[in-house]
Amino acid sequence: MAVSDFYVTALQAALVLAVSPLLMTVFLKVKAWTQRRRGPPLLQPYADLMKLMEKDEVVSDTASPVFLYAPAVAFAATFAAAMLVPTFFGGAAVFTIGDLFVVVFLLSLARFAMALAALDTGSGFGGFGSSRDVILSAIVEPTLVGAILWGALVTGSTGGPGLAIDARPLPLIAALASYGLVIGSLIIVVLAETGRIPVDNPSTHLELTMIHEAMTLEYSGPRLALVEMTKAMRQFLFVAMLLLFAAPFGFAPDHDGIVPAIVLFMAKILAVCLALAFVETTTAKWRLFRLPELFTVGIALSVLAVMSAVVARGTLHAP
Amino acid sequence: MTDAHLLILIAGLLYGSGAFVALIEPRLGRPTSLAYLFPAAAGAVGLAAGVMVLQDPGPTIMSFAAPLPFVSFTLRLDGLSGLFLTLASLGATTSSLFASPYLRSGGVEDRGSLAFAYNVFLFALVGVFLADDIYTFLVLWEMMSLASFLLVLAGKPATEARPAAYSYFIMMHLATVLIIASFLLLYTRTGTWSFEGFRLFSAGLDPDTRAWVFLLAFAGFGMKAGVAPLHVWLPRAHPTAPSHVSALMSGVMITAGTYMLIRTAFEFAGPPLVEWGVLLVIAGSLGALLGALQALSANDIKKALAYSTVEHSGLIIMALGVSILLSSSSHAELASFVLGAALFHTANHMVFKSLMFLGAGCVVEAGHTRDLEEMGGLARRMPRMAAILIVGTGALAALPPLNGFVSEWTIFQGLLGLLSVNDGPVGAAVATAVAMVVALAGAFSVAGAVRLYGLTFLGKGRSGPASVAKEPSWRLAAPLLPLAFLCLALGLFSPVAFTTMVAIAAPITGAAVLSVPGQLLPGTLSTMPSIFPMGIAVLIAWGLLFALLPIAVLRRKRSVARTWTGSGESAPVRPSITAAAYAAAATQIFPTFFQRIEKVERAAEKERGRASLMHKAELGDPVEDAIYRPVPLILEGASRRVRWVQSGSIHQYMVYLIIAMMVAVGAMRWL
Repeated sequence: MAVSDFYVTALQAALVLAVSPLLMTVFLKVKAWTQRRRGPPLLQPYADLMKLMEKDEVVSDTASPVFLYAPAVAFAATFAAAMLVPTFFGGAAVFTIGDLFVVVFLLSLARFAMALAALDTGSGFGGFGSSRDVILSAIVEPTLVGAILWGALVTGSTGGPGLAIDARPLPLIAALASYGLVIGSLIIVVLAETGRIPVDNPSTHLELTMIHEAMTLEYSGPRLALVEMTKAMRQFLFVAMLLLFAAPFGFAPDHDGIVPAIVLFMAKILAVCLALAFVETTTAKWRLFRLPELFTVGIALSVLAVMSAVVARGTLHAP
Repeated sequence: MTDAHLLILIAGLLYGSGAFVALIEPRLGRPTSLAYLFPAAAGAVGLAAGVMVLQDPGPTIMSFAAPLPFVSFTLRLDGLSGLFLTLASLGATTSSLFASPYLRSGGVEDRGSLAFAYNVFLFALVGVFLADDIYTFLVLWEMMSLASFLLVLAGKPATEARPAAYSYFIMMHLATVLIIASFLLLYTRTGTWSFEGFRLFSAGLDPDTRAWVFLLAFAGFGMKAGVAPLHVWLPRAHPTAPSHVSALMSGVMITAGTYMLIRTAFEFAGPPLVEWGVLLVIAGSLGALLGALQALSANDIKKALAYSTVEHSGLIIMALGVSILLSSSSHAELASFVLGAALFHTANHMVFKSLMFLGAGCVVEAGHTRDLEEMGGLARRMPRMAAILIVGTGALAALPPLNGFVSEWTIFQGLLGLLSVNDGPVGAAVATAVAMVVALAGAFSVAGAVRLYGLTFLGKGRSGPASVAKEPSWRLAAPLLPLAFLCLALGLFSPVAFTTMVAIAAPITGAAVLSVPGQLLPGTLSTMPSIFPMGIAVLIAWGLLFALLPIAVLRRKRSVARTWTGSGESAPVRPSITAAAYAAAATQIFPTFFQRIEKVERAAEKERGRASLMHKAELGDPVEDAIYRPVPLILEGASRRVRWVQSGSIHQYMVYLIIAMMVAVGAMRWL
């Protein structure tokens, strides 16, 4: 690994760790504004994390080491996944360690760890949250795989750098249709996987509606800080992945262009979060068993996206 | 005769001696320990032979004169049989080492006959992968089926083992009939009994014959491989067998079906046709989904593992189908990639499924139940086993950086390869649909793995077993360690392993052996050629360091308290989720994949004039009801229709005799 690769890797890690909590506030702010409240200060999540790190913790009497180490494993897996999605520069060696399929597998490692931890407390809340989370994520996963296949058809690569760097050889009309479809399907994935309305409500503690919150009810102190940080990184990761598909421009062409590229990325990611927060404030949460309908739409969109890419490519290659 | 040949002979003799010792040992009034030591040694010797063959796979033939005229037994060693020899021998070693402490702990009655059948089973199992003519193959195949039938029959409780063994017996004989039909068809067209002859003449066969040979073989071997909808025997027989046998059946025996399907499709009836690929892809991917969903809902810990075998077998068959599709459209390099992925997944599945079945054996022994509803909280009673099995569960759920993950990744890459060479919308649609079904099955297998591990080991003990379970001894746990280690090693060093698999696959699909960079796992697309498994592990370790460092440095005070459940501190029962409830969301979203069996039981005695009713609802396999239950009913109905033939009147029977004679004479003249 060259020295410059090392810088890019370190910058990416710093960006993932530093910016993730900020996105949490963006959601809270937008929600507050639409409700004519002022909302928390921008740095509130950082303060919350610091506060949690200073607290003692209480652990359930049924807990095993799984409960104690799951947050670290989930954090590590999410972090590793976030390191594989290019944000401001596509050409570093770190992005060739794994492709987007690997990101999907890493996310399932994180989910596995937290779902086990939720069962470990022996509470009904944790158990049901765990069951809902693994099964809802299961029906989201094909959509994500469809989007990756689409990316592979369009850029010839399943990796992040492919999407960030390579030009798209699709005819314009087909490309537009294909784009629209894949972005639509990815938005559904993002809503589901980051636990936002209409799939889950991150600010509720009502047992009938909880999914992600229910899984982490028993955590306190530094481990809760890890859990919150993991949630934030996960949101960052999914928004970054959406951007990789939806707005693949403005990546630094070489090492000199890195600073403006980071600024542009921040602008992009804030814009997406504003849009998602707006969706969240204007919709109501869906009943749990209505959600498969939403995911069926997601799957259908991504199948259509792949098919339109195939057709577009076919007309392109035809003599 | 090469060294590998000599080692194989020694291994065979050791299995034979094991069978012999098994008959003597109980007579001397001692438990069967030598009878399991022999196959363990034989496995080690076989492993050495397998590795030798993998290093130098140039096909070599061994042949023995049989004590019958015109018959000789032929064995053949090449890359493919070397791989399966290695897997079978690895399984033989670990299962045999596990067997004698396991039997001493009292799970299954320790009988000489059991050890005898076990040795015969292993002998035949290893031999099946080496056989190179119809005689040798069928003799060993039948030995394998019959010995494993006896082993299933030895399971407990007998009320469950008998019907399971019986359905296994019937299905295996149906399979053998189909296999014999397939071989006989080849014999009539080629005039040779040897597989080598089939290989020589296959190109000259007409397409119809080839199609029939393949279809018959698909039905016969597919039954052994657990391809849906021919899998019904598998989730019955595998759980009831003693755990060391379940591990071998799920890990190794089903791969005999896959192995012969590869041989038939590419060699005996090859080159393969597109339609076969389509058939395998559809059957495989549906089997994977069905297996994953059933594994998610099964309440019996070993049955859940058996259905997970159906799932992984489906994935392997699907990958084999993709490889056939690519091979028939003359993309030999890609075909060998995907076939390599199928073989890699077969090897990985063998490792983690053996580990899980042996571990399940320990858990069942410790808790005296196979019912997930009755377990829970075992991690605190048996922390060592919990730690070993989390590796197996992770590999089962295809989590990075373990071995299940890398082979599923290569399978996805194979599907992508199929998609990228297919410019027609139909082929692309099939590839996309299959990729999504596989993704769905994979995600459900994660859910199933969480449920299996979580409800067994974590949380609060739901009934007796959690309070009586004891940590199994090191002797029982030790054979699991190499398997757990392999789960990690095959993941981290997957580039080496996968290159070996592709090198085995290349001569089968007729591709040139490609040389791959040592550290990277290759993909199928030109611009994203590879991933770096060791690097993924490093990234995860980096994240772990970030996460654990502050916790270790800060050392906040930790206190223990009861989980708040909303039911008050004094409540006698703390509500927690049950195994059935955990799967409920999946069973409600996908009702087609489950058969709801509802029963109303009326208590025999009336209490104060009131009869108590009990309503029970269970979830079963839909295939069983749709296909298998009607068959005996139809047979019974048909035999009732023709019952008048047997009137008992002697006159009528005389008429039958005369008619039969006339028909025979007529037929002879006509012929």
